[in-house]
Parts: sequence; structure tokens; C-alpha cells
Amino acid sequence: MSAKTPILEAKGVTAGYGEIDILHGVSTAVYPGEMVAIIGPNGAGKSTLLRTMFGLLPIRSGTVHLKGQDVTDERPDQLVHLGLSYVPQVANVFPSLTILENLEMGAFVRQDRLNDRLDRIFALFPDLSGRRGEQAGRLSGGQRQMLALGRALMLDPDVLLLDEPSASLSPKMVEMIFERINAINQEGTAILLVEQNAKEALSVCDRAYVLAMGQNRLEGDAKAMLENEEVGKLYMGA
Amino acid sequence: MTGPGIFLAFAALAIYSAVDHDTRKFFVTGVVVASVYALGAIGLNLIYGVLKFGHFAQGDSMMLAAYLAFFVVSGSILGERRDTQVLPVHLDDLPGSTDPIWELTFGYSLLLGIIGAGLLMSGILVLLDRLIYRRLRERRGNIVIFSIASLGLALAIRSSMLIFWGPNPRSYVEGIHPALHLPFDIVLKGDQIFIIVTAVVMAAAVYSLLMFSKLGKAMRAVADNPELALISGINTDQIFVWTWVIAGWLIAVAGVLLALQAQLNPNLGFIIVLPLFASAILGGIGSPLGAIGGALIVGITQEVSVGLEVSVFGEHLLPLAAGYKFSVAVVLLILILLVRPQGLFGREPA
Amino acid sequence: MKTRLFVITSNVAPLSAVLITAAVILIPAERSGWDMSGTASQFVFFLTTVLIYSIFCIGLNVQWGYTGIFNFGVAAFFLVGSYTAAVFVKGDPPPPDPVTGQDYVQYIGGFGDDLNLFPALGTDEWLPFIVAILMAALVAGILAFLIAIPALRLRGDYLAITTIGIAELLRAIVVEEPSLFNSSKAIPDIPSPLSGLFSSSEYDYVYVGLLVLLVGLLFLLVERSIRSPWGRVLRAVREDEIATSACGKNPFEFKTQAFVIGAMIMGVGGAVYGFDRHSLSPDTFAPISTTFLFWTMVMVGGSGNTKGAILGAYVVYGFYFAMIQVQGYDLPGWISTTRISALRDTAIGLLIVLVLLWRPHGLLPEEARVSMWVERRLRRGGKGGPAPPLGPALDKPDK
Repeated sequence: MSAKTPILEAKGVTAGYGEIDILHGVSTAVYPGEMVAIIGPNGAGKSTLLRTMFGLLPIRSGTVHLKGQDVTDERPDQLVHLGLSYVPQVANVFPSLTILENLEMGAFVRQDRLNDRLDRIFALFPDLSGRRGEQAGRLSGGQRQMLALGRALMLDPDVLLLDEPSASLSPKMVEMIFERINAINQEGTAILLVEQNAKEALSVCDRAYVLAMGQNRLEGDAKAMLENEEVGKLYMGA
Repeated sequence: MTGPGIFLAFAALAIYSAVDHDTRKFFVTGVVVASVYALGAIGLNLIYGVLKFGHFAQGDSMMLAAYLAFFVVSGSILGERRDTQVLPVHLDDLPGSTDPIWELTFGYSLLLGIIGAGLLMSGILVLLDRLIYRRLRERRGNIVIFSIASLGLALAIRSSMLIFWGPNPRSYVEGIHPALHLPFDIVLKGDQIFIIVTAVVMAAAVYSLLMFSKLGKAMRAVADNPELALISGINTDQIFVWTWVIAGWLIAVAGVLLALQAQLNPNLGFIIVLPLFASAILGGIGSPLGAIGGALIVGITQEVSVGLEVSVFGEHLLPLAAGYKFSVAVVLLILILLVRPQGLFGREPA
Repeated sequence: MKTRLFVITSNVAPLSAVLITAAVILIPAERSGWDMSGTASQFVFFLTTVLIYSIFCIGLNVQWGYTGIFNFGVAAFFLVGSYTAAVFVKGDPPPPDPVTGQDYVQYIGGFGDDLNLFPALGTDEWLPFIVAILMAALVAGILAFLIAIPALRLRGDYLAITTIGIAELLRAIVVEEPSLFNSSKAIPDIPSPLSGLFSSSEYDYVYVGLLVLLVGLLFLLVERSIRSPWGRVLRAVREDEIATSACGKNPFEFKTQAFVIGAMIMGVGGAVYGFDRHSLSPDTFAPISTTFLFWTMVMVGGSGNTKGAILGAYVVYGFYFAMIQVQGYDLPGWISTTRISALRDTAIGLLIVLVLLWRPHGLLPEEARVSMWVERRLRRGGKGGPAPPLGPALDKPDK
């Protein structure tokens, strides 16, 4: 199912805040068209891993490669040019900008065929379509999450990093968001997502990594992991 | 509730002073002064919104810009002791450049001078950002550190003006200039009309830039959430530079207008920071549009309170002595911080 | 690399003190043709001013260094302290102004001669001054309390602009209300404590001695309280207000206390300034340059270190004093007096920026300390090397 070289790969990444390391040599790989989940307990370093790969935290050792190119410690605005997008867990829209302006900001580095791409996002999230001129700060949690995804998709990224897309949403919304993420993946975008909601994540993803204490614990087929007793006991409260 | 209340109280004062024949001239002067404050306060709020700190060198930068315009126009700096030296190359040498336009006191050389000051001021601010503010940003310093640095620069800028142009106040064009009699008994000088018109044009230009241009939208995005802006591929460092460039133009125009309304005076720069901050905070800090409302309130209240006569039980309450002009801004500032720190037009904090 | 940096760090403080001392002694000595008694009296004047300014720096350090309060209105507390004290110690009004023939304002207080309760103890020589210092501290403290209500809960720069505004407002009142403060004619003939007991040539030295006692007393008081549980809360507020309130301590309450205490210390500084200069004029209290001088002193010396605040006062005022001395030389025409003082102010303004960029912890960085109890145990032979220096929130993002 996977091609020979990963489209995004982190090798032995060590990073953290201030003096303290959160990640101690973590490795992950995403192959083209794949959807990969990172699960693990609170404080395992899942979100830190995404932030580090996206250039928001300095890497103390290890490397990150995107499409075979070394992008270790590359600035986020440069990574966007190379086809990587990232949706943070919170504060992921510009509250005082309108929906349309939020999406335009998503396409900041590329202005060609702007309208085609806008049409695509509005087709994917029809809820947003009718409220283009509304301030993003007034949207509900679910709509915000859609807008955040839409903003990240404005550049047709090859790889999308998602930090807990289902956090603090109602169960119905969670289902809906995962369905959309799946649709985005079907169109060919590789996705690496971090989830607290392990069951939901494993059921939609191809492969998964389990992270604990800033280190790789397990990796493998997502469906198999769903059945894995150890994973179930440790991270799904089953 | 307090927001509309304060607004109504101010509206009553403004309408009363505008309607009453004796105080109309103070109201009109207030509008002129408010135009200058508005541009300064828009710049202050722009910097506050995007770079997240109170720029205490705003007033001194305005005065420096006014002197820079004076310099490119007249070519004069202070020589030995009190002698003025005039450089051989300056804009006033251009043919007909000092012939007054319409009812103004100055010719097109000063208009070119404003452009010169805008270019120089933007350059200076960008340079200061590269040398100082960017380094502090990289260290992820506390916002207060930025404000202390800007205060240090305020002192350095003011002192440099004293070095180059000396302590004596000057004007672009010396002499007494007659006022125009307009309908409704409004008496205004040509230069004052120029101040109001220029401020309106400049504010409209900045507004459309912020609302409709790609750069303006990116600036608002950075103001909203700098990290998300970076994540979206916006080069935030570039946006910071552009913010200083735009602030530089606002400061330059506001500075020249200030010097036209009052005078060129190195010591005026720092004190003007008080009404500027009062305007910015009254309008809602970080909101460039609110700054215009705040400036109108501060400017008109300030001028009317040193003009309007009010006695209560035979005690003279108003007018205040002219030395209290800037104290009015302080009182307004403290008042708004007490009852509505987010400003009149600011949103309730979430 | 690390060790080399450390060597520089440990030497800059004494080195700068030595250089400044040399400049402060040698320039006046050279100018007076090596007349040592004149040089000595210049140095005594220098020391007096440094000691007075150290008091403001100690007060500002309580506010900014230990608690992280951004008070940019030191001039306001300076003004309030010195005018209050002057009003309380002044004796009979002076004769009418020789130029205008106008009378000077009579003061409500003026306890100068009424407080001679026990003439045998010479109370008129010291009691009014103690009362005046206490009143100066009290009034400055009340002013700080009133400012704290609207401004101390808000973000740091709101307090900064409010305090600048208050300083300007008070200065405007002093200028515009001649019936209260004689306006720019100033308050003349402020007496000095114990001055009746010494000849005027001796008295300069006596006053330095009194100031050393006062600064020493304030130093001990501040150091004691900073090592107390109360001082620990202050530093906690500085580092993280939210975490502090989560521990059940109301940050606003502690910030108000530190702000008021710092202001009271500044009030004391204002009082002794008046006793030394004998006259007060509103020009002394220009909001920016006066306040800024104290800020530069604290930042240069080391925020969060009382010794640093005093060293900062010494070094920065030494530079200031040397620049004033340079004005006395026969200088080329293009260096006018205005230009020298403007250059000096430019240097002071840039100095603070340079300190922020290159030496954010100042000459004497804050010492890591926990409490008197722990320190006593350490002294008794406990383990634990010196902890790394801390700073007042200089390299930590604001919340």
C-alpha cells in the first residue's frame, strides 16, 4: 500500500520548550496518500511532535525530510511553499477576519486560481459557503474547525498535519469532521493526525504510532492496533 | 452601558460647544487638533495591534519627522551656538516651490518635504526594528521590555533634535497668517483646513489598505494570531517591516501637521504622547478605526476645556489655564481606565 | 567560551565603578588645577546626589526589579515627596520676592519652629525633618494607592502611560497654581536637618553621613522583606501571576503593596533631595528625563538586586556628573552647552537600549535566593552551589 520513500519523515527528533526536552528521539513516517495517526496518553509529546515538524520549535537533534528534501529547522512559511499544511488544535482561525479573508490568508503564498480553490473548499464545507462575510470569531466550535481545515487546504497541500481535530466537539460533529478528513485523504492528500480520541482515529487511519513519554512505543497497522490489547488497555480506557 | 454613557456625555459637550457662538472657535480648533491626534493614534494602534507593544517614541518620532521635513525643505540645521547653517541643496531652491498654494502658507516644497519625511521616517523605523525590536522579539522578551526600549529611543530622538536643530521653536514659514471666514461664523486658517483634509485622506487610505489589500489583511491576521499567520505561510517578519513602513508614513504626515498646527519644538514630541495614548485607549487599543473616535473626544475636550467658561456657585470651574491642556488627556485616560479599560469602541474582553 | 563570559561578568561591575570613580575625581581635579579641597567638595556633592538617587533606585527596584511593576512616573513620587517635606519643614515665610515684591506663599504646615518640644534635646534640629520624611512617604504612598486602583490590574504599559500622565499632571499643577506652590518661582529656603549644629563647610560631610545611614537602613529593610515569605510572593507575582493566584495569593494585592512601598521609599528620596538642595522648582520634575535617569540606573545596575540599584546610581550618575564637568572646559564653538546635555541624554537613552540588548541582567544580576531560613542553613555548611542568576521576566514571554 505504501510507496518506497515517505513523503514526510522525522528521524530521531529531540526537541522541547526552554531547557526541557519533551521529545527524545521520535521517528515517524508518512507515505504518499496515507493517513497516519499518532496516539498516546496526555503529555506524550504528540502535539509537540507536530509543532516541531512544522518548524515552530527548534530541533535539538534528528532530521525532518519532506518529499526527500531535508527541511530540518525550516521556517513554517517556507514549509508551506513546499506543500505542508498544519492545523493547530486551538486558536486555529483569525477571529476578527471574515470567513473569506481567513481562507484568503490560507492561500497567502499563492494567488493563482484563487476562486477555483475557494469553490472547492466551499463545496467541501457547504456550511461556510453562505456566511463568507461573517467574522470567524462568531462561528461555533464545529464551524471553526471546518474553517481551520479549509484554511489549511487552500494551498492543495501534499501533506496535512492535524492536531486533535475532534477536540471539544460534540460526538455528532466528531463524526462529521472525521468523515471530511477522510474525504480530503481520498482526494490524495497525505494526513498525519494527532488524536486523544484513539478509537475514532484508529478506525479511519491506515497506520498509527503510539507515543509515550516522548518516545516511540508502538507502530503498525491501525486496524490491528485497534484490536491490540495493550493499546486498548493503556490508551483507550477499554 | 458605560461606553454609550461616556459617548453621550461627550456628544453633548461637542454639540454644545459647536452650537454656542462663543465656544465655536474652540470646537473648531479641537477638530483640527483631533485630526493630528487621530493620525498619531492610528499609528500607535497599528503598532500595538501587530507588534503588541505601546510605542512610547510615537510623539518624538512625529516631531522628528516634522524636523526632517523642515530639513529637506529649508536645508537648515543649527550651526555654532545659535547660528543656522543652510545646506546648499534643498527643496526651497526649486523654482516657485515656496509660492503659497491657495490660502496656505506654504508652497509645493513642503508637500515634497512630507514625502521626504515619510521616506526617511519609514527607513529609520525599519532600521530601528532591525537593530533593536527584532532582537528583542527573537529573545521572546516580555512586552514591557519593548516599551522600555521605545522610551529610551524617545529620549534619544528628542535629544538628537536638540543637537541638530536646537531648543528654539520654529515654523515652516515664519510670519502672521490671516484666517479665512467661512459660513456659520467658522474662522479657520488655510493651513488648518489643509490639516483636516490631509488627515481625512490619510485615514481613509490606511483604512482601505487594511481592509482591502492583501498586505492589510495579512497585517490584521498577524494582529489576530501571529503564530497562525506564520503557519498560513505569511512571513510575519516581513509584515512587521511593512507595519513600520506604514507607521512611518502616518508618523511623518501626523508630525508635519502637528508642526503646522502648533510649531516645531523638540519638547512637544514627548508630551504629545499623552493625548495620543488617551485617544488610542479611548478608541480601544489595537483598533485603528476606534482611534479616530478617541482622538475627536480628546482633541475637542482638550480645546474646549481651556476655552469654555463655566462657573458653579460663582466659582470659576472652566476655562482651565492653558498649561493644563495635556492634563485633560490624562484625566480622560484615567477615567476610561477606571470605567471601561477596553475602550469605548472595543469589545468586552472574552 | 562559557568560562570567558563568566570572567567578564564578574569583573565588569568593579571595573565600571573604578573607571567612574576615576573620572569623577580626575576631571574636576584637572579643571581646578589639582586643587584638592575643591575636588573633595565636588566629590562630596557627587556622593550626596548618588546617595539621594540610590533611594529612588531602591524604591523603583522594589516595584520593577522584584515585582515587575512598570512605573514610569518616578518623577511624580519624587515631586510629591519633596514638596510635602518642604511644606512640613519650612519655617517663617521668606521676605517678599526682591524682583516682583510679591509675598511667598505661607504654608499650612511649616512646623519648622513649632516642633521644638524639648529644646534641651535640640528637637528643632531633627524632629520636624523626621515628621517631614514620614509625611512625604505617607503622601507618596497614598498617591500610589490611588493610581493602583485603575491601572495596576491592567497590562503593564497601561500603568506606564498612566504614571507618565500623573507625573505630568502634578507638574502642571505646581506650575499653574502659584498660590499653592509659588509656581516657577520655586520654594526657597528649605532648611536641612542638624544644620544649626555644624559650620556649613562641615555640614556637607555630615549630610553625606546622614544619607549613608538612611540608605543603609532602607537597604536592610528591603533586603529583609525580600527574603521574607512576602518577598517570595512578590517574585512569584513577577514570574507568573496566574500561577500565583492559583496558590491562593491575590497578585493585585501584593502588587499594590509593592507599588505603595516603592513609592513611599521614593517619597523619602524626594524629601531628602529638598533638604539638600534647599529649593524646589517644577523643572526638576520633567516627567521623562528625571524618571528615565532612575530607570537607566536600575537597569544598568541589575534589576532585582538592591546592591545593583545602588551601584547603578553610582555608575550612571557618575557618567552624568562627568559630562557636566566636561561642559566647563573651553570647547569648540559647535559643542554648545545645549548640545552637551543633549548628547548626555542621547547617551542615557541609548544606554538603556544597549543594556536591554546585551546585558539584560545588568552589572549585578539578581541573586537566586529562597528564604532567610534556607540561607542560614546553607551558611552553616549545607550543600548547594550558587544558583543561576534570575531576572525580572526579561526573557520570558508575557502572558
